[in-house]
Amino acid sequence: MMHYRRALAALILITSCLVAPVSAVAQPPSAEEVLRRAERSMFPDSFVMRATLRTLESGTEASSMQMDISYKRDVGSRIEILSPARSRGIRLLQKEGALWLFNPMAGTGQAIRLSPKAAFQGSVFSNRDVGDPQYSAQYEVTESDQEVLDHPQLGQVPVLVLVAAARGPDAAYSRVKLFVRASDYLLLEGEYYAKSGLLFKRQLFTDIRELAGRQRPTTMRMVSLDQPNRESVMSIESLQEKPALPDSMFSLAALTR
Amino acid sequence: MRSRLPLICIVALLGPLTGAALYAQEATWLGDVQVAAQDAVSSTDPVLSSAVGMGPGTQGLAGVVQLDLHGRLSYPMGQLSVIDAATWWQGSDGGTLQNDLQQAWVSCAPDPALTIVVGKQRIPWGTGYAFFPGDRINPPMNPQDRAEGFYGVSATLASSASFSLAAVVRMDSALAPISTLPGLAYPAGDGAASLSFLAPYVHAAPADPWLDLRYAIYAEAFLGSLDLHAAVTWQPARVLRPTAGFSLDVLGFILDGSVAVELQDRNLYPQPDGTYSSPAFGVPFPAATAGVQRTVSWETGSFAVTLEYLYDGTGYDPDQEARFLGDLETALGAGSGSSLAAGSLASGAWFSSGEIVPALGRHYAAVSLGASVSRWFATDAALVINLQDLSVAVQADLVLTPLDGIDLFIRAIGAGGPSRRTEFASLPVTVVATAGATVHF
Repeated sequence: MMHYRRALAALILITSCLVAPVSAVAQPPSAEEVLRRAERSMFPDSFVMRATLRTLESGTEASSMQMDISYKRDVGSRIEILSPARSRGIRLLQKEGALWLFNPMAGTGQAIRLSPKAAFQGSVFSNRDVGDPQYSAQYEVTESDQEVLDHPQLGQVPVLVLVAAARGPDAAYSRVKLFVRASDYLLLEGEYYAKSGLLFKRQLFTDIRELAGRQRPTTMRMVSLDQPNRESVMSIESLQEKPALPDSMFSLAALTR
Repeated sequence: MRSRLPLICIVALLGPLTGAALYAQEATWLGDVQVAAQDAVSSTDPVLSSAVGMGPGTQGLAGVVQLDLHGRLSYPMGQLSVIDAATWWQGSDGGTLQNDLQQAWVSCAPDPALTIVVGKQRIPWGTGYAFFPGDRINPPMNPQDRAEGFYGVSATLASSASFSLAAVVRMDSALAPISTLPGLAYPAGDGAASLSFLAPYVHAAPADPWLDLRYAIYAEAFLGSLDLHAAVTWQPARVLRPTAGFSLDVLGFILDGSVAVELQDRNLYPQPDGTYSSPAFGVPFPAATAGVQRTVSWETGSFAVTLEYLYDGTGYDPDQEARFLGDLETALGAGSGSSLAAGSLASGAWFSSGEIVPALGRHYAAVSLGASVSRWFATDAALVINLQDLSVAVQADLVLTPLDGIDLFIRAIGAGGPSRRTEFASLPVTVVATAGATVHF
């Protein structure tokens, strides 16, 4: 009898261990979880990246900027501009809802605080678009749906559509609509809305390739719907996952050194 | 401090740096070369204009070539950083080459959270834009409108991205006498000591080298969108100034404010009997700032406006200010004033477009307007008003950016006031216009 009870207990334990993961897989992730997975499909939680940002007007290159971006989830991001020569050495520090700019050639030796909602260095991207890829911290999902997206690289793709509202006034946009590939939660397209409800920017994520251990988009094309002939394109040249980035490198004290 | 060095000294500086760069993990060199023509107009007052060797209301044309260089070498354990500016100036009285070593330091990071810096350096201080009344560690802008560092040691502990604590020892703070003027209360060598009529009241620097050291503790914390700082600066018999401040983003408006109190003010104040003296230890002299900054940007450009007010209790009241300016004018007229001091008044920190250092009065306002249209041009104007005597100093810049890496610029600086015995109207030079080109590398 004792042996029977032990065998039954073992059977229940083994069965529950087998069933639990199956039922977890069967449960589709919540919309908030999809959003978190989508932002992780873009970037690791802690990374160093080199990227080029080009702004085009009527198809002609108006400006080009190369920069190094260091980012740590829930801590902050730090950007150093490498070119053009006029902006070389400028550093930006962004954390939560704040942004500082330090120009070593300005002569003051002092970082100045700016609004993170402003445009990034004259591009169509906002400061937060470039320095803070953590959508889930800025926006709360209010609706989700499924549809098929016509993607220029992937063709017809089944996607999950997430509509998310800004959690606070610090967010760059009042509302965002994100199109996430259903099979692996890869972010493929974003629409960005003003407080008035007007759609005024659209971003397309393309050139998907292996980067820092998984498939990621390496080109982000942000189009201004206010000025249809104007767009900014960010191209990732290299991306390295760096889990050991010290928090102190995202401090104001480190920004001016 | 500033020095006039021949070209060989600049080469001597760059040589070792180049050698050090060979062993660096990463070497970054950036800077610019500026070529400009400068036209200065002197005061119409013969006494004031003579202080800078010019006739009343005359013009002086000069050519200026300036090299600004910033080098940063990274090593596994730390960094080496140099910021240097060399200026070749050609005027009617001949040419000069001047080198300003603004910063030169080495850092060591025994732990990712701890950075120790030794050398000529500045530490980030305050949350404002124009006025930093709590900062008695970093020297103010020098007369060439550059932020020089101090010689010393600092240790910064950044235990997280949101909290840092810096301890600083400044070692060069004994180069000036103890009593100084408001706004020149730093050991820059251009202060009260060079104004001969104040010489009887100026105390010599202390002989004990330990009394020459100046100490500061600076803490900064970031809570949500609120940035807070608190600090205290102390030097025996010279400075005791606690301070605190904040900045906060409210719907895109960046608000900032700070308070400070000096408990050991060594400035010289005019007395009713015609003499000058410093207050006793422990008499509180408060200071406070309040400001707001707003940037509006759109896809092709941006517009920024900054307003900041300063109350500085260590400045002169209207009677004291008028009395000092009268004494200065009398001394210059009698030939016993110092053209060095007057020259520093003419070209000094009042015209700074960055950190604006107030001078003689107690109430100031700074207004800054800037606009840029990406790819084409940027323009900005900065204004400092002495609200006590309503005199004004203004700087306006227009920068054209037609090509990558090359700027064409025009800059105008002016100063004036309702009467000659006001702060900015008493400057020997009233207008400086500069036009030139800057090549960035």
